[in-house]
Amino acid sequence: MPTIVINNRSIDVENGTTVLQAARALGIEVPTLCYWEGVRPMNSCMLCVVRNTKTGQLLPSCSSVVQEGMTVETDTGDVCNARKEVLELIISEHIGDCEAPCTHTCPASMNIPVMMRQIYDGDFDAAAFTVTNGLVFPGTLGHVCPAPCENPCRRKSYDETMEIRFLHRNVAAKARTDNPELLECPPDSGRKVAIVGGGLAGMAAAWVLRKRGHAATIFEKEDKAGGKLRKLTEDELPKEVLDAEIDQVRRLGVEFTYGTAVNGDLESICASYDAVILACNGVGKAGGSVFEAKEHKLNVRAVGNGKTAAVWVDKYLKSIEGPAEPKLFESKIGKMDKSELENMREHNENKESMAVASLDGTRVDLRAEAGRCLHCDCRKRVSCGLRKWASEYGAEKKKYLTTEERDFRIIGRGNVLFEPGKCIRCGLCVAIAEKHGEDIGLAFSGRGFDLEIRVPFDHSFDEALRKSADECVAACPTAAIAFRNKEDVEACHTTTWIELDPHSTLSVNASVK
Amino acid sequence: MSESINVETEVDLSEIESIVEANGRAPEAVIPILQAIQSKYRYLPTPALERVCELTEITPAAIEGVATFYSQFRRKPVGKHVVSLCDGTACHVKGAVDVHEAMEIELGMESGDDTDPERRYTIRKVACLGCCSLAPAMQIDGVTYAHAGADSVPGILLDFQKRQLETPEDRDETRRSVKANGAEIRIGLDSCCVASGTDRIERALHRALAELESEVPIKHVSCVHMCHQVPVVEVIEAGKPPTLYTRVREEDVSEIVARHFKPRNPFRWVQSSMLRWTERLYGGVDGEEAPESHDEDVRDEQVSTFLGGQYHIATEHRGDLNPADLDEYLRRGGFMAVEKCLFGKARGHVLLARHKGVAPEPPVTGAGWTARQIIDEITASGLRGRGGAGFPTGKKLQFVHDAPGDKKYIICNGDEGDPGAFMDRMILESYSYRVIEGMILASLAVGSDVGYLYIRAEYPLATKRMRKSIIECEEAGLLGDNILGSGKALHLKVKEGAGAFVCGEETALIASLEGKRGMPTIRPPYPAQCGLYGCPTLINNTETLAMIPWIIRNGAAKFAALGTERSKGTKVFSLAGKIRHGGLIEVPMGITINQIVEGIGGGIANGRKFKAILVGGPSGGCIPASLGETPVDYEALAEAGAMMGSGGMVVLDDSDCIVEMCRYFLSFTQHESCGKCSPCRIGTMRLKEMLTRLTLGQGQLSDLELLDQLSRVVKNQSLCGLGKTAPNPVLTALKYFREEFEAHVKGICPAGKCKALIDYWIVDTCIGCTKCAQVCPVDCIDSEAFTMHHIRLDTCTRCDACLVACPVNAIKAGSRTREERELALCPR
Repeated sequence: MPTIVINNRSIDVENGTTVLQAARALGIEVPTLCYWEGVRPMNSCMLCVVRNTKTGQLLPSCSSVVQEGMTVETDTGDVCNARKEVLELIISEHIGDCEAPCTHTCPASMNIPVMMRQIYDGDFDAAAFTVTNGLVFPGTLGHVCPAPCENPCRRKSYDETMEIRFLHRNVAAKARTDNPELLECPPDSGRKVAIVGGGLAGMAAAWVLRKRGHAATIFEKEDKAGGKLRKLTEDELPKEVLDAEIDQVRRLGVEFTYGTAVNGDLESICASYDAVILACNGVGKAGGSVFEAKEHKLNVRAVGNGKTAAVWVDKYLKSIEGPAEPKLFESKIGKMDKSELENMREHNENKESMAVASLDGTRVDLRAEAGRCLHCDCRKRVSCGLRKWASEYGAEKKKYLTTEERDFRIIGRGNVLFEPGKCIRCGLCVAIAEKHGEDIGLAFSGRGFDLEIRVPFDHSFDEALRKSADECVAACPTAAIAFRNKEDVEACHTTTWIELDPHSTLSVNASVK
Repeated sequence: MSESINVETEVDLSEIESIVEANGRAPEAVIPILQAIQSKYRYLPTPALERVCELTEITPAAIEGVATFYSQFRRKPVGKHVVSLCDGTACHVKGAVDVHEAMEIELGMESGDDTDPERRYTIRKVACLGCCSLAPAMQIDGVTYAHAGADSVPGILLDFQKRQLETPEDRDETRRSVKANGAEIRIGLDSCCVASGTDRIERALHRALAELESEVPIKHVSCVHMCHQVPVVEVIEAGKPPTLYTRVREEDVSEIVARHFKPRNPFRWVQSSMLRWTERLYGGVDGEEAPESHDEDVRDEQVSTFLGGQYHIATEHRGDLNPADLDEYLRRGGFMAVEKCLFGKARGHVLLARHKGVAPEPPVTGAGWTARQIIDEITASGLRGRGGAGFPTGKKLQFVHDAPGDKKYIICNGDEGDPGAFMDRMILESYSYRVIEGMILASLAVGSDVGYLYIRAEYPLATKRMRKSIIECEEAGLLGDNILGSGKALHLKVKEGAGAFVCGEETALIASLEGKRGMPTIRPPYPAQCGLYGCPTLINNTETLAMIPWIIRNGAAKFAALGTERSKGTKVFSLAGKIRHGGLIEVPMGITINQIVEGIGGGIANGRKFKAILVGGPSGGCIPASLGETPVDYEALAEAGAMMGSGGMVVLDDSDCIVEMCRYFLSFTQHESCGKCSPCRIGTMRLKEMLTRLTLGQGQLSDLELLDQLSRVVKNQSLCGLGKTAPNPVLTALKYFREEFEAHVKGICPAGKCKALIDYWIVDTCIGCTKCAQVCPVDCIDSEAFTMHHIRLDTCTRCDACLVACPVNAIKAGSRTREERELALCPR
């Protein structure tokens, strides 16, 4: 039983135990990409390095067997830097969008592609969940939003843009008002937040606070919430749509205090609430427990500001210092040319929708329209190991200029898709296919930088991975190997931390001091 | 596309079965099977590979992986002939790139294609042909051409076509020399010599001797090491000092023969000399007095300095030992070390038995050496691994000896991948018996009965000789189940590599022997504990093994007396580059760089200045001329930032650009990286890109910082030796030649080598004769008669033609600052 000291903590382990296993037994986290229980260590990513303090060498912990008397460090500055360097190299050849361009552009960061797929699957409850948590006012915005999200739509560069606003308006209209899942909140935190201003920003902030378990009270000087939207004509915005959505905010447990102008007596409010969000102009200054969520003439930005402020308040209430989540890593492809888009369309568009969708300009079939979506976002937005560790180690995206031409491709006609641009060439899939005794299997092809994963003799990925596709998709550290119609479970059914992270919101107007 | 499909459907698969039959059905047979398929079809047709999977245990994934890993294998049909252009370091510094371009133009290749439209020739770049002293070198099918300049490309193709028409004269390598009155003619027949045309010289010698009806034998000898002077013919006459003729040409042969040997029939003598005389008169031999100018006596100063500082252990009997004659090796003390270890005393009874024509009986002598004694002797000699890292050989033997396990393997690492080194090739070609002897001794030390020789695919002659020598040794009772009746067994097998530099790394080599992609694995476990098929395995470099017999025969003390405190004995280097006398040298450790360059190498050729020496190939580093007093010793070289490496030494002069050299090395390592670990796979690519930008004048000052930083990442975080050493050239160059990098950032290449950074311009001494414009291949010279001409740099290809053509030296070339250049681009 050799003994190893990891970060000054000692542990006895069985012969043959790896440093990684020993560290995990001590509850010490060591990042890995190419490590998968059940196959031999691949020694590809070299992210799991730790420092052997006696020799000064960096060891890949996944494959280094514990020797008696070993001492290692897993989290010193130089070890972290070594990991960051490796991540930066891997990122330098990564081709893919973590999030779709539409999501990036939406000031409220609604997850649009997920909504598309839920509509396409006919799951309107799920779609309603996505649009409501994303926009809070999907119906209202469906009428008044200028839809900046439709501008960068890849489908637009191919033929016509996705009608995103049309879709979320209709999802909102079709959604059941009595869906309990929609109004579910975590147990009360016992914290109370006051929100000054009952416009979209204020109500959006209240929605998010409730979703994080805090009590929220809105102080509105008028007798109705909705702010400037009340001034719109019935043609521009049917008031029953707005009222229904305000009522939904109320039913979530948000308290509305109408006719109460908070001018000057901010201090008394501060005294009776744990935090205050200013969602109106000219009331006071942010600072201490007072946060700001600016109303904005672009309504969807007001919603974004409200959501962002709520996240900051949540952190403040939970006494989390600084940004709790590191700045999320975003891989972006940028502008794509016609042939790349064609490849994307071929593999991602849901085929049967096309005929209906392109009939004329007025697309009434929601499902057909949603089926046109090119699925620009990644199938592993949440579970991607590369994204996770690149975020955690603050890897720089554009450290290295590259001269090679971008090679965006999606391969696979069947259920399994392969994206070489996302592949980190770790070979887990090769090893897993071999373990399952696949007749065809996968192979490394070529060597050096040009190394790639290929199916021998030009068979399809479906044929190659008859028995092992599930494990390959699960093991793949990125979404290089993925199922066409299956993605991260959380990504479909919940709004994720990604959307709520203040850093991923384009405008961080909420300030904290 | 349709064409290639047609080709594929026509594949005749009937022979696949017999290929499989000959090579076995186990997974490890994949490489030999693919090699056999390729030699049959000249590429790997997919239907053939699918058929192999049906017939064997080899999986589609394995065959795809292996077929795409090794650069020897081609998946596309090739032209009728394959032109292999050497891209080794020595060839690179001597202008291999220009040769490549010239070849493409000559064959009318479309850009991006490797085969000409008529499918006669396919061009491929090879890492190194191992003919560094003959740089730039190329091979068309089996024929090697030396000193191939860009302008000689048409001539080479013509010569090759001519050869196609010649009937191949069967050369019998086993021909034994029977001394005719003690006289003989010796010629080297290793790859360098053959490349320089010794096969033709030999044929001419036979013709000349036949003409004289002389019975003087022609003897093949081991590499003469004067690779810069090949072809070399040495004439031995009884009672006279030998005469050495260097750089012999086919047409000189009859003259040489006539000088030494008289015809039997006096009339023939007159006739033949008349014929020679008329030949010369009518221009059969061009102007110069051919044979005389090539006559070089061993006592000549040049030769004696080249051989002077050397000491031959691995290359013992250099130049006078027939590499294909077991008896001669035995006569000169060969296998005495084996006898000594087996029976305690060397009696030479193998030779005796062979003379009697009987099987050797074990002699009745004292007990043989124990494994312990052999290991102690090697340890005492201080021998360290000659493959590069310098691990003590005795210690390694001890590890394998001590490792538990009934089955142990020994491997001779002959996968010499360093593009600029060829000593393993020479040792395998010229001293095959010595390597076998070394392997027998190693097997006795560790207790192994199976050994492999892993030899590079690019060394066909070495493979052939080695296979033949093994059979001879088996027949002589030196190998097999019962070595010289001692009861000890050793079976040796030759395995051909398939073109992968990384397979020189021991764990990758083992993977390759097991029929896998040559991807290294993490150490520990070291091969000494868990190597080939999971058994304890001894892997030694060819040169290391070749030194062991000498040590056992002469005693450890004699070996240890040579060299420095920590590096004992001698080391073989291949000396190439901008040196006057390149070739293979074996020198005692501790000799200084200056002694090698100035003494043995005769200094820099063409009167230029010694700038730096690249030691250890792409894993090594450059040592500047200012550190010329650095002794050749593992630690001293490492301290300077280089490493012993496999022993390639390429000398650079002041016309070589260090940034460009770094780019070259990184493009080599990037191409040879196996791709397993990301620091090496991506890191070497990014380094190469940064260096390329610098050579194009697109670099920034911040790039130098990043270059340094990334070099350290790749060095410290790569899995195996390839990645860990790949940045060495960059790190040493940044250390010693930083100002040259900075100059490139400013757009200046001080050596005037980086094409993108050199300009051609015309100065006011121009007389307006238009000669330059007439030779310009791209019409980039504005030339109005009798006015000063002007070169348009945007179209200029920097081909140098105008500069050569100008009668008044009014055309200048060189690297200029951005300002000077802008001024020139838009003159006032």
